Amino acid sequence: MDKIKIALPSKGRLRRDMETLFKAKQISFANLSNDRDYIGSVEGHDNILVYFLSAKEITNRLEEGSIHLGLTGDDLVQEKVENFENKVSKLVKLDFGKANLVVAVPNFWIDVYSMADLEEICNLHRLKTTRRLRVATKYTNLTNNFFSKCGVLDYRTVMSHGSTESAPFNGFSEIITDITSSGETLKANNLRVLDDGIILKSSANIFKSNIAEWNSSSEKLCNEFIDILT
Amino acid sequence: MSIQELNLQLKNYFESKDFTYVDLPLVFDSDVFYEMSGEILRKQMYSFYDNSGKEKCLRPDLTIPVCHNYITNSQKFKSGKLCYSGPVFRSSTESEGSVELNQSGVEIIYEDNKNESQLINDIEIIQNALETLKNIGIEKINLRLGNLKYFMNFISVLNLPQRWKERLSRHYFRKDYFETLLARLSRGVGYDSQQRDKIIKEILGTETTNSEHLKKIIEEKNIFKSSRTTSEIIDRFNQKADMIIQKEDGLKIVELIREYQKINGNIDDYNQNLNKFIMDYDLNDFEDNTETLNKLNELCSSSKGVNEVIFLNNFRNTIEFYDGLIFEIFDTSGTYRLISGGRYDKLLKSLGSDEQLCAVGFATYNNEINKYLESKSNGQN
Repeated sequence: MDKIKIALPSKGRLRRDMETLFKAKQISFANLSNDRDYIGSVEGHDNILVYFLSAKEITNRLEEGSIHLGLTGDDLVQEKVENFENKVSKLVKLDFGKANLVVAVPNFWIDVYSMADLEEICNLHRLKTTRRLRVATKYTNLTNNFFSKCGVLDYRTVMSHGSTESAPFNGFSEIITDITSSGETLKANNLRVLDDGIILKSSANIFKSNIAEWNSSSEKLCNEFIDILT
Repeated sequence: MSIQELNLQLKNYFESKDFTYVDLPLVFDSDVFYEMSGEILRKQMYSFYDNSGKEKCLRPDLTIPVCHNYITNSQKFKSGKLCYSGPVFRSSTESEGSVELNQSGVEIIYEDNKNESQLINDIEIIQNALETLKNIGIEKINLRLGNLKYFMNFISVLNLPQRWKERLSRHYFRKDYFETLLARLSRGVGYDSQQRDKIIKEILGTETTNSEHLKKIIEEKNIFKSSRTTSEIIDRFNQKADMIIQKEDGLKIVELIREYQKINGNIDDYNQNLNKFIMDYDLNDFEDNTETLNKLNELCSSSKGVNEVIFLNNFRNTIEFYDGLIFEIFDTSGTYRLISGGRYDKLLKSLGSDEQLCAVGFATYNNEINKYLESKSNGQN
């Protein structure tokens, strides 16, 4: 008999929020040897297998099609999955994991409030230094697409693997793009989000992999799971 | 004729006209194209990483490599009259189903920057383009002309802050973003005193507007010595507050720009239409370009094969480095784009030239030319 594979977050805030939601919907897991087990099934639905993975890994698996459904954020899907519109479909938008990917500049740049200002600053920076203004980010693809749409050309992204908000103050970059939920961390680090500098409004979602193998039986199981969840 | 034969024929023709052939590799560092080309060309590039992790690409264009080659080996060349011929690689091409486009072209690189020599070289390049087509049996053509310098002349007389004039010129070729800029301009630009005070209070926590005082406050915050100096920040802030364009004035300027862009049509009528526009809107400081256009028109009238010459104020090209004359040559039905070219005086400096070099050139679209010649021999044209 066919089974479907669903990947859920294995750790962190996303895991806790997922557990709260599942508890409210009276969904529990079966066939787990212990709390830390990474494979199980949905109680009462032995054909719905559950894998616990990191959000990043869930995104990879959705792209390659080795899982049918996965819980992850818009930010990871849109950044990591090339042509994501064709490869995954959003089935359920969840009410957690909310965060914005934003463009932030040093707060004391009192002349810079919009992406148009930034475009001009980048151009002046290049004329002055012959180098491009550096943007520290973990999200190079989303940043490049957004900057291109906003007419900003004279910049380059530098990959940041953590503490991106400190980059403009330790010489690593001039500005940043980063994910933020309340904006407090940016503020505490003397950074300010540009008025039109929201690149993406992200939340957690249940995505369907269009690459995975689907048939009428797996489609039925998928619908069953979504019905329980919503 | 095969594409290779056409490539060779054009190369030989250019060499017979004293252009020096530049032999170029197929693979280049991607950086140089990212830095100099427009958005569209960038998206069409085939790039990959080599074993050392450096990004390389199949050449998507030949003008940039030729100019780069000239700057780095200028002692090898007896003059700045250069030519090339061969394939370029783009993911979306005029020739359906092919990633390989074949182009042959010439570039004239020279030091003089006087307007007179600009005109001479502009005319020479169009003349060369017409003769090149004649040499391969294409006698009758349509010519489309435009000139970014004319647009800059026009923008210079508008009552706009200098940084807005530069911004509009910088993005002239990027149609969508240019529209975004016009939309922004139509809402008014600059800080009025209320906005200015609000920003100072919210960000700097003070009510002073004295530049020296503001400088001191920002200097204290700019402790990490960012790449922007405190003076640069204050000066630009003051510039935004110094010249405000109110919404109604912004709307009028946008209307004027849109009306200017509508002046398109046969070169014989262009000057008359432009003069009417200047009179209608009282643009007394606007120096028109009658002389240049008349000379171009004379050239075209004396060339028997030129069927139609259109001058377009809204002419846009996907190549962003053009900064003066731009032109395209089509067959008389307008189906096949045979040649495109233009002036790019700033490119060589951006590529690292110590001297102020001017340049103008064109490229033939050999796949299109071949298709056109085939359709002609099949009696379709």
